Amino acid sequence: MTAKPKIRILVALVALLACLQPLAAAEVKGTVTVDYRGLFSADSGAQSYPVSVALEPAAGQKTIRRAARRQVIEIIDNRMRPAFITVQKGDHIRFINRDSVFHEVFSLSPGEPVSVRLGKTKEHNASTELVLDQVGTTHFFCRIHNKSYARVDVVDTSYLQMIQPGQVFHFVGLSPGKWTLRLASPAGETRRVPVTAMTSPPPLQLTIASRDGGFADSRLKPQAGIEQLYPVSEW
Amino acid sequence: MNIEQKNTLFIISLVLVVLFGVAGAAFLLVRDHVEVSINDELERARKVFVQSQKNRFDNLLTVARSVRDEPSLIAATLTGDIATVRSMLDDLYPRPGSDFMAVYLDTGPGGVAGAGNKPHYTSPQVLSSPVLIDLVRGLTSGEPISFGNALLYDSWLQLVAVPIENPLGGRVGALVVGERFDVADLHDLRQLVYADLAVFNGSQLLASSIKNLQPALHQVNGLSDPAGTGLLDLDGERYSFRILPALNRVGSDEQSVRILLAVKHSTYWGPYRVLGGNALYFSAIILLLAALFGISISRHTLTRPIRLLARATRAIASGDMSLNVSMKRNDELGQLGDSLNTMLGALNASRGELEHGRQRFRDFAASSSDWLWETDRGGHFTFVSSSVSETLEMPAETWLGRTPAEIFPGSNLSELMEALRQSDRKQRKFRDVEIWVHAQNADQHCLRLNGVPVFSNKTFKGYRGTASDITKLKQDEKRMVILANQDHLTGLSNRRHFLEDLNHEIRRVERHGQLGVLLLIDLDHLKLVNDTAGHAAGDQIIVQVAGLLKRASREQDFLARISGDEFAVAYSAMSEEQGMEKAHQLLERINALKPRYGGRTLNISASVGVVTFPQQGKVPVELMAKADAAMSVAKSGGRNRVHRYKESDMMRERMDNQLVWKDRLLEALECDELRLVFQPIVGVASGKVHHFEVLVRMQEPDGTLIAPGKFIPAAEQFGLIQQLDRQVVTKAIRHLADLPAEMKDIGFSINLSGLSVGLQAMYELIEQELREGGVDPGRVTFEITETAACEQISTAMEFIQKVRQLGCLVSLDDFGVGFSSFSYLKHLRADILKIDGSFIRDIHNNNADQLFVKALVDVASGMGMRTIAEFVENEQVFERVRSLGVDYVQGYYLGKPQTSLETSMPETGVETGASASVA
Repeated sequence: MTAKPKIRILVALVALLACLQPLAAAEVKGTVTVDYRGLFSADSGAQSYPVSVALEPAAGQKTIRRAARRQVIEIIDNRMRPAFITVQKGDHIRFINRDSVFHEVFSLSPGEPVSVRLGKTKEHNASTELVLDQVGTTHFFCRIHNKSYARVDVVDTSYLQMIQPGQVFHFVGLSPGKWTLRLASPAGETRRVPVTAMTSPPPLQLTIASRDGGFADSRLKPQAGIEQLYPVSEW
Repeated sequence: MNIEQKNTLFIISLVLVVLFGVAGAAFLLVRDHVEVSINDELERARKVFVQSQKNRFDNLLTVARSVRDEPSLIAATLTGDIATVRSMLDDLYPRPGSDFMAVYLDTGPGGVAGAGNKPHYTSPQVLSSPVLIDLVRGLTSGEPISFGNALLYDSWLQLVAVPIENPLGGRVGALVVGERFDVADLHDLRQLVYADLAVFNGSQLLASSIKNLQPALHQVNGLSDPAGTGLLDLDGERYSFRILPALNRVGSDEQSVRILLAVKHSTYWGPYRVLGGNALYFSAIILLLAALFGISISRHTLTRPIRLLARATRAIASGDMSLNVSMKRNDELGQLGDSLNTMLGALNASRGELEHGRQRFRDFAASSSDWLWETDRGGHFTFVSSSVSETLEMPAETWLGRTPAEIFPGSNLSELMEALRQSDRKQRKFRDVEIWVHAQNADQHCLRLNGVPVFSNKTFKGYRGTASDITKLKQDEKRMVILANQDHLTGLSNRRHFLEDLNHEIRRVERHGQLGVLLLIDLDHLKLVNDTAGHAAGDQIIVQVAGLLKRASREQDFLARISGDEFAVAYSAMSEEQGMEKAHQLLERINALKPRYGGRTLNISASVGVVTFPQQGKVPVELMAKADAAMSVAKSGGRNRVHRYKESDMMRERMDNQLVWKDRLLEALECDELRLVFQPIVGVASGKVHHFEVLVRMQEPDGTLIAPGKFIPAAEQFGLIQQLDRQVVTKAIRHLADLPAEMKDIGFSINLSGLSVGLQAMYELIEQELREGGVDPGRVTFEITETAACEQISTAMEFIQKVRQLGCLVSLDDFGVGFSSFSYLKHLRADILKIDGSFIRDIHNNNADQLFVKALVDVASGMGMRTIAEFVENEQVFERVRSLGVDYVQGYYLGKPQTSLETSMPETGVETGASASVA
């Protein structure tokens, strides 16, 4: 069977589901893969970053807002973990220093900038908590340890899922209709895809482009020699 | 080794010398250049090394500054917590360009944290080491940077320390960044400084581009001048090196490590070795080319021409003169070749001439009657003409290697051997040595030899000369002597011989106190017999009388026919009386002869003069004259009688005549009454008259001309002959000078007396008259009597030589009358022989005269002399002398003496001229 007959069958199924909407709760599901398109090709064994999938109402769709939650980012071995999370607007973020050295966390975000020194673990100032009430992406750094970093995306929806690339996301209990699917990953660009929630929707196969070469090898590679600019010609 | 090889060797040697010279100079130049280059290279390496270190430190400083400016480092430092700083460093490190980082907090001891690629770099011992602490303290004085070196265990680190400042002000710590100088750096740097490097500390070698340096470190450490240059021999390689200390920090005296900069000598010598190798290779080629070139040039320019010349000289040495050296060159060899060709040409010409000369010599030697001979030092013959065999019938080869005494063992060779023995002393030449030898056929031969000593390089080698067989000459001479001394008709002695014998006899009897008697016998009227009965009858009478006289003589007596009808007999040991008796006996026996001729009986008588000796005379001529005077008295007394000589006989006749003629001659000389008459001398072959004999006459007042026979004896007696000769010579030469031009080829023969010969005055007169008269001396011949010449031979020889040198000719007059030997002819060197008329006048009837004249002509011809026959008075005589080979004739048949030349010239040749003259 060729590709064209398959597409025709799918269109016919979608149209049939749209007719049955009032009869059952709609849902959106699918998979997201990361397509590395940057200048740097990812190593084959590169560690994949998680992908956050958020479903935002497109036009007049009603959402069910959940209660605010506390998200924790721990600093262990001079690194912030998890380094990427997506939270609902109004959620709390708590930074906890688990190391025996000082850290100084500061933010580069649309909201009020943050800059706080975290005392050594078990000290009284070893943690701090923030409220993220501005939609957008906030970047957190450690002033002392320049490799200590975390990204927090704030979205205004409660339909949030963190999946690994290639895993299935599945939103259920949706009102049928138009929705906007927000896909984000530290390695890739944030993508908004209009989707339609329906009953038993066909799984979406989505891709986000990534320009990050990945972190497959964190070791410092030896510098390329200048002399390689002037290779010996084979005369 | 030939010239070509020598020249090639020379050129190779020359090239080698030049090459060695150039190589030596180049070696010295290169050695100095290499030393300078090595020192320069070490200095350059040092500068490059320092510059590279500066770059390293600059990079290190850049790294330090970038790290120091990291917010994290500032933030960590500001925490004042060293653990935070250490964790920060763990995040920061590794940083490109650094092997080590350390942060020193200004919080007191323990405030230090480090990170590095070696675990021990961050050990407390290292971080707290005095070197690092000292480096950090270098900043305390306000310095913005502190540079330093540190030896951390086995690592040499270059360090830079910079202060860490609080953004709000003040220094809160220091950052030390270090980079390790490892083996890779050393090799990289080696490429840069272009020298070998080593890093060491004492005996600890940290890094080295030189293998096996460790054992030789003591040599390096033992360098007397740390700042100077040292030499290091390692593994067969020589290095020049310098030591650079690496101080802990600027301003410190402490050394962390020492750096060895070394330059391999082979690196610098290498190109020159290659160059040398190439030079050697090319030199070998050049040598080869030089050798080939040398051979070629030598062969072309020298060897080949010399070979040509050598071949030519060998050919010349082997006798081949046909070779021509062909060398078209303009140099010296070409000139030599041309000279050789010229020499060859000259040699060929000389050889031809020599061969011609040899042939001529052989022809002469073969054809000449004389032989050529040559002896060695010992007198052995080494060469003899082949013609010797014709005469002596002894092949010339048999002479070789033998002395004359060995060849002729029985011959008397004392004179020759004496001459040859002179070689032992003075080696003088010898002339006319005569020897008598016996030929093979036992005939006796007389040889005359002349020889000269032969020298080679002043060493006497022997003799060479000529020899001639003069046997015939000797025989002729002997026969001539006999003929001259004998009367041919009777066999008795003639007048000349008789005079000699008489002279000897006078001396003999005088010595013995004896007496002798001379008889002069004149046959009466013999001329009448001749005229009436013929000469044969007269001759018969003479022969019979001679036989009678011979029979009547003893052995010791002397008998001669002294003229046509006169006989002389000398008896020794006989008194005057005995002589008179003997004379009468002889006269009687003559009268008794009665010969018969033509049917008639002839009566013969004689007049006899008798003189004794030595009482009546000791001189033969004088004695003969006295005998003649006595005989004349007998004849005038009626003939057929004997007259004993008396003094009155001689004195009366002689004195009367000569005194008269003396006065008359003086008068004639003073009054110029002497006249010249000219008698023609005719060439027998040509029949022409070109010569006249000048004769003198005394003119009487009546015009009569007196013959010289009258006044010449008086002239000789009274010493007037020289004056007479002078006048005759003067008149004759002046007459010649006055002759007309058409008679300029006419010559005169002038008689000179014996007393005039040799006089200097006479010679000067002749020379003066010839010069003043402008007369060709060849037209004048002086006639000297043989007797006069022989009596004073040396004076005559000198005079003849001088006169001949003037150009005049000399004739020996009256030849044959008085000579004793032909050898005089040889010494006198006259031009002409005038045969005495006594041999000519009757020659057509006298065989003896013919023989004599023939012999005389042969001798004269052999000696290059011409002959004149005088007294040619009739045709028979003329024909006879002509047949005998006489050159010139003179006599009444051809012309009588005349006062003028014109009338005496024959009109035509001999036949016609002679006939006309006689008519």
